[in-house]
Amino acid sequence: MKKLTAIILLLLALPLYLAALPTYYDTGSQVFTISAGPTIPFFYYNPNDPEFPLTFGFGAGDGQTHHTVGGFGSISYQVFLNEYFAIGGELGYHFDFVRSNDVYTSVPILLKFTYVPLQGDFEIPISLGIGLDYIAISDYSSINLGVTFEIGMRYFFTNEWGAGITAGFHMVPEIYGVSGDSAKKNSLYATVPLMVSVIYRH
Amino acid sequence: MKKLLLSIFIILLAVSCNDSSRGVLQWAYQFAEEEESYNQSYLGNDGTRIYLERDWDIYKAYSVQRSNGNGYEIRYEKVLESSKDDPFPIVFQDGYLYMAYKDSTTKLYQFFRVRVPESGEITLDELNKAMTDNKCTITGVSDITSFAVSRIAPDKIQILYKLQGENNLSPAHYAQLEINGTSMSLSSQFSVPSNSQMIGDGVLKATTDDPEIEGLPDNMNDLYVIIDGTMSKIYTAHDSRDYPMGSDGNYAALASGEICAIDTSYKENGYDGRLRQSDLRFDVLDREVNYLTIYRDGNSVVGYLSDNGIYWREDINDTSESNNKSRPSIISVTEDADVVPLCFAGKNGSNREYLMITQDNGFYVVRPEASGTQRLEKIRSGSGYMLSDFL
Repeated sequence: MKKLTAIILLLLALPLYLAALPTYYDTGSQVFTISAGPTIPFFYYNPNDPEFPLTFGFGAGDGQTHHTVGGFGSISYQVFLNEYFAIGGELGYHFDFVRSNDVYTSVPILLKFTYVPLQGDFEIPISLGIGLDYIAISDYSSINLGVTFEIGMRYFFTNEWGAGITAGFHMVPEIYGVSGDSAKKNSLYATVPLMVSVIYRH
Repeated sequence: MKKLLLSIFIILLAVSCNDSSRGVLQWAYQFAEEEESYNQSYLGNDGTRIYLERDWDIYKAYSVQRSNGNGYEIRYEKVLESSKDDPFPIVFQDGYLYMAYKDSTTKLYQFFRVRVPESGEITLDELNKAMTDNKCTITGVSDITSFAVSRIAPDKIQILYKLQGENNLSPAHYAQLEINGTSMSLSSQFSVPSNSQMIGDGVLKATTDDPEIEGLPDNMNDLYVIIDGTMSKIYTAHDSRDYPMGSDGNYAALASGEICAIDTSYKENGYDGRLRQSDLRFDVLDREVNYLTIYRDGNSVVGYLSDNGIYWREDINDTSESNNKSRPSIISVTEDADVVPLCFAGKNGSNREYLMITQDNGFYVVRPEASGTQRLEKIRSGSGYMLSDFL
């Protein structure tokens, strides 16, 4: 009980501690990021599949997503609105393979919000992206809502250049309708991108 | 804030514009596997396990219960990895795989059999040993250039071959490979018309000597059967709708859709045997059938596999015209143009369930419905049926 109380107090005190730290960014500061790395299928959800509505992980077996481990790359540009929050855009490209060896691709074009509570030489950025996601496989394609959530760590070797690692959650809900036959095509695919990044800030 | 709202509006607009006939993600999950295309042929079965050749390799297919206990799925296990230049399989029977190859030195075709292990693949050593220890040669001929086989009984395989130097007008040759325990021997070797095709158990069709008949596809209007080791002409078509199409050795299907019984006891006018009308004669009448193979399950059920559907009929010995069962149920597969019916395996059990194996598209099963018709169901990974239910 004492341990739990201590952890809760620590978490409550963390924002105060972070707020007391000196900040690096000002309104109008800019950050340009290039990222790449593997993606791991997290889950696939099809509410209309009576046998396996929810599957996890890579692989072609029962209970698996039928996708392989893939890759993801992106470029993003953001401008700080104040000392902690940045807004900008991100263009990405994700691919993996399905059972027939057809390549599945996803091209997210996202509006990206980033909160940097710890900043300076060592930073912890937390981002939320929302926007369009073009997905395609074989002769089929669609444009959907795309959502990402990322948390990372980055270190700046100079005042402007840095490198980092990021773990994310990339989700594409493919929505055709809320009822009727259209709704039977609804499903959702989520992946976990693990990326290394090069960052330039100014 | 206005820009943010505008962005969200654009996103929602894009989502509502999806009009794919099939969800992209669902296609990726469920259907991508169906796009795989195999040259797949049926070799035989051992209880619940089915042996197949698929792109030269040999597999056994069987069902396993899913880990979550929810149904079964088909699994493939490789038995022998092979290639175009390796020995090719002919049939699986009683735990053995019967194969053939062309000896590069003698130019003779050799037949042999190799035992299939309970688990795992046939090793190269096992294959090489089987090729030398237990082989059968087509004697008296050398350098066979073309070769076709089909099984006509559990212990009998028919072979059609041509020799080097023979042109299109030269005779082809027919033989039967008989399997007797550990030995194999050839019988019923004789010449047959140059463009003969095996269309059933001991049944060939070939061209006529009369070129005046027009409109016959490939001019295949003569029907021959192998009776007591000799080939006998039993039928000559004189009309484009009467050319023979398929046979199981007991019945022959004509292009008109008429299914006739093969009467081998008839001898007259130079014909050793004849076709006579059967109670099946109207089964596939007036249908556009280009390919037809008949499979029977004892005397109770008959299935016809054609290029535009699967025909199903019960009580083939019921001659009552008023009986509804005198007409076949037709299970159309025309919606899937890739289907090539290849095999019909059935049992005369209470469930009336039958398994069909088709090239390219995997497994199908016919399920009876309360209305008296049958429904065709495709089996693929993701659905759940036990093969033992069908065999």
